[in-house]
Order: sequence, then structure tokens, then C-alpha cells
Amino acid sequence: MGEGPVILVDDNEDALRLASAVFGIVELKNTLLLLNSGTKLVAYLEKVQVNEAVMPSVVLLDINMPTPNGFETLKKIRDNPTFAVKPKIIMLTASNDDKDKDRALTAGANDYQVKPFDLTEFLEFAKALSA
Amino acid sequence: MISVLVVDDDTVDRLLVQDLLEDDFQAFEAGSGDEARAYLEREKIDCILLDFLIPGTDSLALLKEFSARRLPVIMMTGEGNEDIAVSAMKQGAQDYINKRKLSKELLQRTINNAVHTIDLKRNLEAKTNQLSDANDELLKKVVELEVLNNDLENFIHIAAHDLREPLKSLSLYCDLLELETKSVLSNKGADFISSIKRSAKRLASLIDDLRALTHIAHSKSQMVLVDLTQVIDEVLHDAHIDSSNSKCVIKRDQLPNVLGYPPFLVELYRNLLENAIKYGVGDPLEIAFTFQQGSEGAVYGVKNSGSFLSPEELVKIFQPFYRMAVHRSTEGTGMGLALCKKIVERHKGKIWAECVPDEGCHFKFTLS
Repeated sequence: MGEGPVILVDDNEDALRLASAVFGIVELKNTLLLLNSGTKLVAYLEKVQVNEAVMPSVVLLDINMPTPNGFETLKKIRDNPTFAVKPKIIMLTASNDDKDKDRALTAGANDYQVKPFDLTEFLEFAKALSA
Repeated sequence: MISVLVVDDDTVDRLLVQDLLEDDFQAFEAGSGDEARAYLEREKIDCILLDFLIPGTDSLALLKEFSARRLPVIMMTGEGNEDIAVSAMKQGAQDYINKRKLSKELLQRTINNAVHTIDLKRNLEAKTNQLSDANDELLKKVVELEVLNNDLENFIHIAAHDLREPLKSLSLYCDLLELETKSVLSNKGADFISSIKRSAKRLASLIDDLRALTHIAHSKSQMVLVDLTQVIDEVLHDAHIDSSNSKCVIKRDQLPNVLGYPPFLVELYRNLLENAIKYGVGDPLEIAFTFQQGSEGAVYGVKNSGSFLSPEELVKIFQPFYRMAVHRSTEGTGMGLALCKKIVERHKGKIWAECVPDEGCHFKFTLS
């Protein structure tokens, strides 16, 4: 994985705190940046384009958020012609749903991940990310 | 009293017929189509006696006109006019009589019959209309019900999705709590956390089953030819049951290929097998995958030794969340057989169970 931060976008504060606790356990070497809306992610990526922020190594983007939801945010990023370099984006969802998965991949996500249910699953996921 | 209109251009004939009618009926007479129409406007006429040969008038056209008013028309024909009579009957005449063989009794019988028949027809029409209206109403209700059902399933689908997220947080925080407090946690405290985690897992299974239930109804996949032998191989393999398993004896009928949705059929047999293992009794436990080709078509089944269900339970077991009282302690969400029912219904089939004391239970199903 690159040097840039890992960004987690989720409107649920609990989920953000949880992620930060788990990433603390695996001692992620990248910075973990927590954002609570898709709009904030787009704003961050705009700064990246003018070298005011570091390109993230990966963006973990929750699908189920108030407007803009994960899909809408993804579309804004992929469709923006001024974003010369596109970040790697993994869509996160609460439950396994083939329809959501197809939609995410078609819309230009790099991957699709069901949110882990227990700590073992979560640690595996976090380790895979930082590997 | 039944009123009869005699339509005949021949005055003598008219008077003759009227004479025969007058004791039993109220009789009117008309010499032409126009006259007849005028009577129909003025009087309440129950039956028409129409002469077939009226110069300058198309009797068949008149017949049609009167029949269209739902009036019984009896054709009066001459000797040797049977062909004409037959074509008149085809055009809507109730009956015909030979003018040369008229009698009081014949007229009485023919007219009464014609009026009675028309009454019956009117009644039948009214009933048919009522039935058709009721049918339309029923169809409307069915459509409404389908829409409601669809809404409900959509709601369950979304609710299940939204419930899963906080549940994941709950479960993960339990893990973190356990990890963070490991050194200071008492045994009792650790037990409590385990209980919370178990409950969360069970709740997650329930939510998954609910989603599966709505998924079966909404899936847009296509039916393909499925080899049921392979389906059962897969299910047995996943359940870690093979011929070396001494606690469980599996019997298998030769199974055909069927048209179906492969993942759903695997799910169906998986649930029936789990059910047989969970509730079956015997050393060894006997489980059979059955197939019978009966007069009503192919019947598939999974049979297990030992267990018994009362007739009341047999009805309830296919309801979602139903678990038998004696087995409340066993693992499971109570959704397995509800899923089976949904899958079989998706294949336009039926599912039921038959139990014999001391022999066991046989779950049977048909596919379309």
C-alpha cells in the first residue's frame, strides 16, 4: 500500500470510532482519516488535485449514507474530469447483496466489501489493507 | 296472465290462433311488423307468435329484432317448412309450431315453455353478470394484495439491511470490550459478554433468513435444468455426511433432472436435511431422499426416522419463526421450513409433511 492515508467515509459516528479502534490494534502504518460524509471526501480529493493534501492509499466508502450516498459520491469522483488521478475506492456495505456489488463495480469502484461482523473478520480485513 | 302477441298477415289465421289462446292468455294481434312494434311500445308482451310468411316483411329480421328485446318468439310455419323452422331456431326463435296442427294444448305448452325458458335465461344472465362482477372484484383484490405483499417484502428487505449495521457495531464493540478489559474482567463479566455476542449472532442469522425469504420471491434469475443428484451430493458434502458416517444412514432414490433455480434447490435440500438431522431420532439415524412418480406428478421428499409431529404442528411448521416447543433449546431461527415453503412456491409446487408414530417424518414436495 502507498504512503497516503486510509480514508474511511461513514455517516455513522459509532462505525468511525470502531474502525479507529480496530486500526489501532493492527497498528496501521498509514494515517487513518475519518470523514462523516461523501461531500467531505469530494472536498478532500479536490485539495489533492492542487497538492494541498496527500492522495489517499485507499478510500473505504460506505454505501448507506444520507445524500450523497456511497454510489452518488463514487459517481461524483469518477465523473469529475479535473481529478487527474483517481483514488482506489472500496465500497462498504452492511449486507451481502449481488445487486449492490454489481452496481458498485459498474460505477467504477475497485472493490466491494461486506462490513465485518466480528473482530477476527475486521482484523483480517485491516491487515489485508495494510499488507 | 301471460300476454301473447300474434303477428300474422292472414286475418283468418290470426283469429283462429286468438280463439285458441283467449281462455288461457291475454292475446293481442298484429298484421304487420309495424303494428307489432306499436304493440310492443304500448303493452307489456310476454311472448310473440310470429308467422314465417308475411308478404313484404322479412320475418327473420323481425325475429332477430324481437329476440334482441329478450322476448321469446315462437315461429309459426306451414306444412313442410322444417328447414325454415330450423334456421329460425338458429336465429334465436325459442320454438316453432306447425300452423296446420294447432291445438289449445299445444299452444299452451309451447308458450309456457318459451316464457319459462326465457325467464331461466334471464336469471342465468343475471347470475353470470353477478359472478363476473364478483370475479372482477376478486381480481382487483388479488392485485391489491400482491402490491401490499410486495411492499411488505420490500420493507422487510430494507429493514433487514438497516438492522444489520448497528448489530455489527454491537458485536464488534463486544469484541473490543473483551479485548480491552481482558486483564480486569471477572469470569461472570466474560460470561455476560459471551451471552451478548451469542444473542447478536442469533439476531444476525434471523436477519439473514428474513432477507433470504424476501430474496426468493424477488429474484429475477431464470429456471434451468438441474440435476437433483448433484444437488444432494453438494448438500451432503457440506453437511460432512458420507458413507463412513456410522451415526447416520443415507438412502437415496434415483432422482431426475428438474427445471428450477439451482441455488434455491440447494437451499431447500440443505434445510430439509438439517431438519432431519436436528429432529430425527435413531441409532443409526436413517435419512432418505425420496422420489415417487404418482398420478398427480412427481413427489420429492426427505424422510427421517424417529421424530413425530402432531397434526396441529404439521400445519404450523411452515410458518416463519415457528419452532417446536420441545425443541426450543435447539439452535436455529425457526425460518428453515418457511424458506423451504417459499422456495417450493417459487417453483409453483406444494410442500407438506407426513408423520407416522415410531416411524418418523416424511417431508414431501412437488415442483411445477
